[in-house]
Amino acid sequence: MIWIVARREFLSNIITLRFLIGFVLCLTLIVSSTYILLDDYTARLKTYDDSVRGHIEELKRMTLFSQLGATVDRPPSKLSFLCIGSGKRIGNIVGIRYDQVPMEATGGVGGSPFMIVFPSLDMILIVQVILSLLVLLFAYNTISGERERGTLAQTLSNSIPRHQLLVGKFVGGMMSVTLPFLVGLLAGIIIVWFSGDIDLKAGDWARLGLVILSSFLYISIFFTLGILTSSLTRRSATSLVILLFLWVVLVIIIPNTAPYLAKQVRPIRDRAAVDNQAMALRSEMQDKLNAYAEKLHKEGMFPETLWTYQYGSISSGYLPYAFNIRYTPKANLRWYLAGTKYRIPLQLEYADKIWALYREYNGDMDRQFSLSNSLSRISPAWTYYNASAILSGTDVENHLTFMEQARRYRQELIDYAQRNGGLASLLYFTSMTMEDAPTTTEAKEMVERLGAKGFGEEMEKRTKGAKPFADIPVFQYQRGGIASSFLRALPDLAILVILNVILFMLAHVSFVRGRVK
Amino acid sequence: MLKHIIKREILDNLLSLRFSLTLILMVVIMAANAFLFISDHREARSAYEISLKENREKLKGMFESSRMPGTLWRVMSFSRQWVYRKPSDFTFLADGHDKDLPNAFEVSAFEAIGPDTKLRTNPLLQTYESLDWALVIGVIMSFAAIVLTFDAISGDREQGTLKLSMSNAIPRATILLGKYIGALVSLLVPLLAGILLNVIIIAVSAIVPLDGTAWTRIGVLSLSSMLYVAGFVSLGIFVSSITRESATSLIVLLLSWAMLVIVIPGVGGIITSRMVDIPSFEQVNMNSWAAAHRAREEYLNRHPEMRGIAFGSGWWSPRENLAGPMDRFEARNDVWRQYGDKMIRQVRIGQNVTRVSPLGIYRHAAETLAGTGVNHYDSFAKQVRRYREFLKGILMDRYPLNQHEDYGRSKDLSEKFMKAMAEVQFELSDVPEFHEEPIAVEAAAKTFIWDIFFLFMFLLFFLMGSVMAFLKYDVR
Repeated sequence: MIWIVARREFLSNIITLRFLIGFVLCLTLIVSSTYILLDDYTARLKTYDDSVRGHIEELKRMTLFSQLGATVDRPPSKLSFLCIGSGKRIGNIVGIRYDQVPMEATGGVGGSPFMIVFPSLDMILIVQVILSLLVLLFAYNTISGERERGTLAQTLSNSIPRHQLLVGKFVGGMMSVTLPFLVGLLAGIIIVWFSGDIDLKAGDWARLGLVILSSFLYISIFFTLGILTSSLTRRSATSLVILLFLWVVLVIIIPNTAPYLAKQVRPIRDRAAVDNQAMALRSEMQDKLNAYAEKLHKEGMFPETLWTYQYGSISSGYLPYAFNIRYTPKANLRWYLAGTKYRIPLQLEYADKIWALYREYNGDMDRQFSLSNSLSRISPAWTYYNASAILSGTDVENHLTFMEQARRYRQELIDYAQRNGGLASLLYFTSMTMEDAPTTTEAKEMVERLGAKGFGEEMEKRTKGAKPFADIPVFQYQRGGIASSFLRALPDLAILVILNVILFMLAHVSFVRGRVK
Repeated sequence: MLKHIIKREILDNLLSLRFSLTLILMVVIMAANAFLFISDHREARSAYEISLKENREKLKGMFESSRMPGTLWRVMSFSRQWVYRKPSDFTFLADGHDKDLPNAFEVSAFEAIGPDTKLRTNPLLQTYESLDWALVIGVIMSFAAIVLTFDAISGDREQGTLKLSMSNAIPRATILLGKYIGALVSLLVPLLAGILLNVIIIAVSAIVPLDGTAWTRIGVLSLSSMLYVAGFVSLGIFVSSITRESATSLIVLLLSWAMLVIVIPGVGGIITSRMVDIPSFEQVNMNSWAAAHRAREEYLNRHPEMRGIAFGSGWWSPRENLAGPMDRFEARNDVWRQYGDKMIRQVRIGQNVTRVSPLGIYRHAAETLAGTGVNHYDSFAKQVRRYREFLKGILMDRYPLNQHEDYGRSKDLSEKFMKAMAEVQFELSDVPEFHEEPIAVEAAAKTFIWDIFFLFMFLLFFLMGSVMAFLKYDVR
């Protein structure tokens, strides 16, 4: 019986103008947006590949621990053609140094910082805004329209239970709404498939399936909302007006207001205050370094001949801190080694201290964002967007885990240095060993004998040149598995399901108790 | 007679559910817009002032901790100043992503490095459209206009009242005009109520100085908003007078609305980013150094005596040749300026593409009037360039010696340099603070006239269309 009702509903829908327009609109919009976004994805992927190649080359050229650091990139998500999400707006490049915990990403993809003024039309937005509007146009007169025409009384005069009629109408209506969407989606997938630009793995197909599922859930919320309103109102015109205004509030207003509200409810401290605290810590560290240098001077560590045989770059003046020394006598090496051994642990300590400040600040920002997210969840449009962004791997959380990975990678680099002779060792500022280095008298004698230039050539021969760290770990971006994405999307999916159930029950109650004429 | 029809239409509308919903929605959102703007603007301005103060203190520190010629070198060449874009006073009218666009440059007498985006707010929250007039009126009022007019003709036909009206001796054009004016007036009530409330809240809070030009901006934008809404009313009546059933009329209207308001503004940007090819940052950087190299060669050809002596360091240092490095940086600046202009042009093309839709036109008009968005950035970047040239002027002016000489060559020259420099007066007060001036409202007039013209054409086109369609309308 349900099937007969559904079939009739479906057939009477697909011959209407709204179906035709909806069909054409869905097909053209989804196809063109997929095509454009696919192109966009390949361009971004290319930028990413080039960038990673350059950054790895840079890493592999490193010869001293004073350069210890790397630049790491976040790849664009494969499913960004479904949902661009925040992936394109938040920076995707992080500079890492051993003496600073990474806290911010820089660089957006696409080159121009001005393109931010344009919104981007992805499939999720099409479903979120256009399809939901279309659904309302199908649903607003399901009950009230038939009541107005008198066909409802006629149908119910047959021996058909009301709930079966309702379910039949729901199924038939949903079929006619999702048909344009599915056809558009299929066309989109075919484009992706034949372009061969994206290599979709099993996990990606599962994600795609879940996004489609959440789209269904979202669409059906608006459909049941339509049935509910339609059975509550006497005239379909009234039902339509109410639904359209509900739509504006849910789809346009709430998602745009929530961030403002979040800012009011949970304000964050001024960034300048945090920056100033960090600056104070940095100068505190610098003071300690200067004090230590003075202490070494008092102890008589400072080699008198430092300036005579100095080849390379140092921190400044009489400080025992060097970055890159090509060759120098033993006494000088000892001087710099003493400074380095004091400086490195201090730098690591202050990096952690400064990070603690920013971690708190970042935590505040994250909390503000989650509040805004939770507030927006009042609207199913946002819940749906959230679920889809998580499943497509383009949500903000994705960026946060990337930052976490970048921080872990920094630790890996430090560990690597500690395993290979230690960060605070000669290898920090020179590729010489103590054995290679001449004593001061030796150096003096060599300069007298060979001249400054000859001394340099001789020393270059002795040090055998710098060797790059061949086995230094390379950053590997770990994309979260499908299981973890699913778990994170679960609350949003659950909200969608629960809303569906509640709305359907309400629609059922109001229809069963409602008047037929 | 026309008066009667208008009166009837207005009374009819005022009693309807859609009218009260629109009114409530507009009042609530426009009030929310005002309150949110006030707190947002306060935050933005305090961040801006902190930035200015920080920069000024840094500059003061340079003057206190060094003597000539070191001061000149630090201020003009080595330690650059940060200059910031001022948060616009009129983002409540049209935000134009004012807060997301780059807002800072690092400036010396030689170069302006940037643009940079110095965020003092939560970057995670930056991903939405702002709730400004352009959104509230552009999206919600156009929607309300459609919902209010979709059954203006076809609904009357369905109810049979159209036939009844026609049985009187009224020209069809009069009926249509009456309906048009009636609908427009009923829409102006929520529109003006919203605008009035919004402006009153902002005026009372005194967050922005509402002077003559501010009132001009607000007033002219209110008028353009009316024109915009009137355009959608004529679209609604047009569709309603070419369809037989109001349900069909609504479907056609809503989907055209979605096309005009959501889809076209949504794809305009992506299309242009594919049309205009922007070189990558690295590419531009390389080009700029190549240009600098060429300029250096040219300079050395003109001053062969400097070959092998000048250009000791990348940035100008005391005793060094001054004119050569300046030429070099001018060449670099040119490359960067062209890059910046190209990116702005790309956005402008994108905005022109979206001006196919009335929302695009309206938003463009609102941003021009408010002086926000890309226009604001562009004007800022130009002012930064002028400021750099001004600094260059100070440096060239104060430099007491031959700019084409290298004073590090010999001890004599060096002494001469130090002696001349010690006499140069250079105080903190000689370096004026950079304060960004807002765009004058008059500057907006030229492009704004076009927007008004387009909006008017949109209105006229559909109004004429509906008159023609209605004259032939089958009233049965």
